[in-house]
Amino acid sequence: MEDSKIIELFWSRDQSAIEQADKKYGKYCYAVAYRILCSRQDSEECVNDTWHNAWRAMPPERPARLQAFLGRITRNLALDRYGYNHAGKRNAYLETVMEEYWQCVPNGEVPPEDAAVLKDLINGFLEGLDKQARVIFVRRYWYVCSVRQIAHSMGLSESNVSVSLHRTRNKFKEYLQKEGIWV
Amino acid sequence: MKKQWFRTTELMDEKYIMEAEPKKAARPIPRKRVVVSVLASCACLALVLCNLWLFLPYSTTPPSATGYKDNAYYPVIEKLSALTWEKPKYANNFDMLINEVPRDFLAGKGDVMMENAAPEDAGGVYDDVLDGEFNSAETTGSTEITDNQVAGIAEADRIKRTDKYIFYLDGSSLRVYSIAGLESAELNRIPLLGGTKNYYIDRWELYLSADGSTVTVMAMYPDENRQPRVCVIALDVTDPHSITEKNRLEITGNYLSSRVTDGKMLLMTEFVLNKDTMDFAKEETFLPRINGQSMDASNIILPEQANSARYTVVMKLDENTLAIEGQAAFLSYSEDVYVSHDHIYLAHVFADVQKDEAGDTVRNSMTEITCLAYKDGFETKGSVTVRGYIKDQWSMDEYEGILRVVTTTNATTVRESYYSDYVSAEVLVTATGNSNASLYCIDLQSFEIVASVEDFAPPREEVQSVRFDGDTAYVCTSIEMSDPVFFFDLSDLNNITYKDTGTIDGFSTSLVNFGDGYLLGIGQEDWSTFKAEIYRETADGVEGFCQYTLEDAYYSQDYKSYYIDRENQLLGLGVQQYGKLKEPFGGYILLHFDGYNLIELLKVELAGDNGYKRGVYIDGFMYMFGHEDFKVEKV
Repeated sequence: MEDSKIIELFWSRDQSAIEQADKKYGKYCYAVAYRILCSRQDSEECVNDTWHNAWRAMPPERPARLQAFLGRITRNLALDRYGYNHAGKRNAYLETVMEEYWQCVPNGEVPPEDAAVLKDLINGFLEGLDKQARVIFVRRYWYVCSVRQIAHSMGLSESNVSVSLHRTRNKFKEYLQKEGIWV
Repeated sequence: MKKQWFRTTELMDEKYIMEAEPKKAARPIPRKRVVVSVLASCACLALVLCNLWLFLPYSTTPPSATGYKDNAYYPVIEKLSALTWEKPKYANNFDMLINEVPRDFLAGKGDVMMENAAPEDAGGVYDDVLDGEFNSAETTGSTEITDNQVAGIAEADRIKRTDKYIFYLDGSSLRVYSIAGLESAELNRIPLLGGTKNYYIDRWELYLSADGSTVTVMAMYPDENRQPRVCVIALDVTDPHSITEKNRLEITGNYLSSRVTDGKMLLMTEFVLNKDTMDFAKEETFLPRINGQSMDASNIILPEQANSARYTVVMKLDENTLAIEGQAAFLSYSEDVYVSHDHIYLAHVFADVQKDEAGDTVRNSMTEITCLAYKDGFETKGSVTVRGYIKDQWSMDEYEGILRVVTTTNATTVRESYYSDYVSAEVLVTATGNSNASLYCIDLQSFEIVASVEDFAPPREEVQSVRFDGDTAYVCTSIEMSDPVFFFDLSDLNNITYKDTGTIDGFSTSLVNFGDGYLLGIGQEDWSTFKAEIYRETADGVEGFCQYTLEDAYYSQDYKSYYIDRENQLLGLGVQQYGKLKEPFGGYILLHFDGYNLIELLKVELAGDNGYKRGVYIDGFMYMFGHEDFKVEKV
């Protein structure tokens, strides 16, 4: 079913909206959650919560890209659940990813909290990257894919991916410094 | 803090998120020389293949069918192979692409399957119900209402009756009424085929057996594959309150026409081939089949001028059991069918293409008429080709061993232009300017034209209606909104004479021999005025004797929708009237010719499409039928 029709089902409060969304994007959302939570049960619960949140969000939301919209909800829920359920028990892999991303912050200073400013910053930076570097970067830090997964899917060596990530992080750091909005 | 910072990744734009979706593999960048080489090789191969695909010339000759020379159906295969092959418009794919003209092939599936072979004795035998030229009542059983073209050859219609009951086909429902004057009532209503609503309902019609006990409905509907299917349903109507189905026969294809004569039913259907799935190794893809069996090659007639991959299938059925007693398939599309006492005439039109002196392409419409005898099986008697195209079944008539045909003849000059799909106004004017009308008489022993009157109408006129009556032929031609009506004397074929009315306003789409030398024309006076006019022959010509007009009115050109009563000089038909100053009117009118004038006896509101309305006069009452509507008026 087309995204527009699924959205229309949500808007008309038709229960089949969830069934259709699950049918089309259930696996995608599950994969997003699983990479963060590494738990089947938690991931499934996350996906179920996604439909619940989507039901509440539409209307009034009418997303242009339903897949990304749902994926975003799932990711947020997964991150919330990760922080809540695993206090003391950490996903070492996710911790590594977060640590890497933290390296982008100039001099370990406190990042600004203004979401609008940050959004422009981040997307402005991504816009300036070449496609391959951008895809690697987003797969690593949004989809939380491993270096091996990225390398395999893109036909690259793991070292190539690692080098690309390293260079992109440095560029991001320089970019943030140049923008000079750090507190 | 780190987690808080990490959550800012949520701010990434959706387009980047979608771009990086893990299941989408980004294009790998080949780094190794081997990979580069492989890619380069693939690219070269692709280029070669692409060039081959683009520039390989299309075949300009039809595929050979010699591989099937030993096949019993080789003549059919050879014909179909040539028929279904289309000469490419372009030289190759490149030529086609740059001209941006995709080709659509119309697909049609054809198969003839018969189901439900003859059941047990079902009773209800069709007999010849007509006696003489005019409709007349039998002492019992059915009384014909339809004004059949040939006396003794019954044609299906939406209405039939007995002395007691009237049977009317309203859409897909059979309605039965008592004949009791103002006390008449609906006795029963039977939805057929589950009350199917489909776009073939306008072709449904029915017969009534001579003893009035059986109604046979010729129905048509789309099957589960959306292919047309003909369904012949025989109903026991002995007790109209309790109608049961006796027999059923199903044939894939389109219903063309049917007749009932001498206790037999002639059924004509159309069987269309699907060029995309046609495979000469599989008979079911190119041959009509009955009960799963391919039609015998000897029953397939291949006209010389076959011009389409479709068959006209003719079957003879026992009216009582619907058992098949004979069949034939005629390769080509038949637009019109005429049935005489001894023969079936199938007519199809093709273009005779020639080059004139100026080098322009001239297309003349030609009609090939094939004659089949049907009394003892089907036998091809011969065929003839005449100039022009016929209007309808009324344009043909067999009389004393001579087939008379009236055609509209035309020649279209097509000038090649840079814009090959554009037909200029000049071309259209030329095409219209060469229209005319012709009459041909063909000897049915030799199938040669033994007499003719060619191009007898004023230039640019076309045939609107024809009626033959013994030695006389009536023809109405017209251009725009004016016509002459011609009376032909065919008693001496060596000296055919004719008279006409001269150019008069309007034209007649149907001509009816109304008795006593009078001719009734049903048509239009102008684009929005209905006209019924009586013509008669005078010493000098033909004159319009009297007329009846109805302004802002529309009528159906379906001849069967007219009630023709020569005995009582009545004409009934459905009309719809839209007036700026009047209330819209949809109903039925009954006209009477009293020898001097056409008088309106009735004008009654009646619902439904004009083409489906029916009426019949019985013992002082006019019974009228429309969609979900029924009226009785004392006349």
